[in-house]
Amino acid sequence: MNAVGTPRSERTAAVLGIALGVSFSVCFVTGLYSHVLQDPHGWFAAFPRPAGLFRFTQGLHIATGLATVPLLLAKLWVVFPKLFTWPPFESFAHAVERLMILPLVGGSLFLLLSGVNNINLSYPYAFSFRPAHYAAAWITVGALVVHIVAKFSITRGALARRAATGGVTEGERIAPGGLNRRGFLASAFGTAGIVTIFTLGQTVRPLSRLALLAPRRPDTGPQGFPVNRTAASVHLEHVDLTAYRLTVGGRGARKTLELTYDELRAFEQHEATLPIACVEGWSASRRWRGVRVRDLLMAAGARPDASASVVSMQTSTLYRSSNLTHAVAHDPDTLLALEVDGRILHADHGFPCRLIAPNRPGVEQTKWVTHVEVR
Amino acid sequence: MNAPAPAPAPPRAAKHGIGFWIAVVAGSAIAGYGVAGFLDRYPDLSHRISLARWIVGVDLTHDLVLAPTVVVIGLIVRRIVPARALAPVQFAMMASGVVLLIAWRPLRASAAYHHNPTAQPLNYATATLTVIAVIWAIAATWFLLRRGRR
Repeated sequence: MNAVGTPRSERTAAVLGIALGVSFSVCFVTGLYSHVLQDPHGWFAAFPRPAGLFRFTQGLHIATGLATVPLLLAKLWVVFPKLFTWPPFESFAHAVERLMILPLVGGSLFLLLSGVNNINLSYPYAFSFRPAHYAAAWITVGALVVHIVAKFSITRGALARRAATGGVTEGERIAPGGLNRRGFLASAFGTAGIVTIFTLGQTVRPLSRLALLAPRRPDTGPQGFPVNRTAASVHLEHVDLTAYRLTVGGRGARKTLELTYDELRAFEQHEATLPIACVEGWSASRRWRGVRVRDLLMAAGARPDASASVVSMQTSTLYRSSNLTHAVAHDPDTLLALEVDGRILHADHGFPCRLIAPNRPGVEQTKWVTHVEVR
Repeated sequence: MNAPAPAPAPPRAAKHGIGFWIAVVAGSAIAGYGVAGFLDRYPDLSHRISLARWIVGVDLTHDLVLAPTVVVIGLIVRRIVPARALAPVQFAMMASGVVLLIAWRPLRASAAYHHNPTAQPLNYATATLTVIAVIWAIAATWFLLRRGRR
């Protein structure tokens, strides 16, 4: 009999456990990076290069999270009978170990559920998505540390048994028929692969036609790419250009610059090919044309070490402005873009002008810009 | 068939040495950091209870609803599907179930209230059925290859 173990074996749990340890670690690290970009901490200053880093890390975060859904459910299926073991614990330490499984499983499931909800713009909670997802990540990782240490010897033992017995223990053999251990693992990882193939196209352009399960397509939207916040949702479909002004000034500048739309267009224009990369996991690379933020800062007599924030015309306070560190503000590709792919910006993409900067979450690429505050 | 050599008995429960207790302290500190951040952001009790209810609720929903449902469906499949087709069918059921869970929000047009035509732009009933058809085609191929080998 050759390796025809039941799927409900310690070895299956060990293999899936290791895969989940890797996938949750990837999501945790990429999620932390997204978090500090959106919620700056004193110890971290956003950097502009490599330009596509956030596009990669956030695409990886969402793709890994989606692929984790079948792996986590498979792992829970494998260990489900253990839920009913009696007596429920053998010692105080064992009780603590089992108690930590509640935040581990509840936290993991909540992370995946809230993540899938978020990419589908679904928020059935009283709280905001991001603080809750962030808190659940720490809770899950804390519980995961305990789980990994508690299960380390069992996992190592289950993986080491392969040579002797095909990886199964006595009592773990089943009658033929149905998925054996290898078939079950192949099905779980195969399902993760299927989920990936049919969603990854939201950020990997050559796969976009296969993105049947993704809530976004990188080639679908005004001027050929998606938006998260439409002009209609902030009542900015028709901006009056005769009244429009871009002002650049603040305590970090010697004077306040005030430019009409025509004056902005007459300013020295530059081009940059940069991705718009959304925290929801979709991204699209475009050719942008507009005015360098650093040129505007210089024209306003900004201090050499100045940083800035970019303020939108939209009246809603959430994501109305975003901060540019000194390095990002002075990057040659950080633009107030007036055009995309040779065309005047569509209202949904932030007409009259929007921020586009390298290595930056889409939610921080402020649209409908009217003021640059120099600090 | 010779009986396989008995494997050394694996440890049934993990040994809880000093390393375990260090992990409990470290893990609790990590989890506590996340909890503290949330409590700081939401001073009012209702939000705090709401997150706790979601985390416990989603666990209970899995343990009391989803997992037993999968067990029952598994038993039914095992009873009605011929043994030689069982493995491919079990794979297809697993993959189709996961796809339905992931497609659940788009299928229900969860983003429609944003009036944003770029969010969920497809006909997700057709899209989901297409993916499920691919899954069952893989399962059918698997079945035919298995049969061909015998």
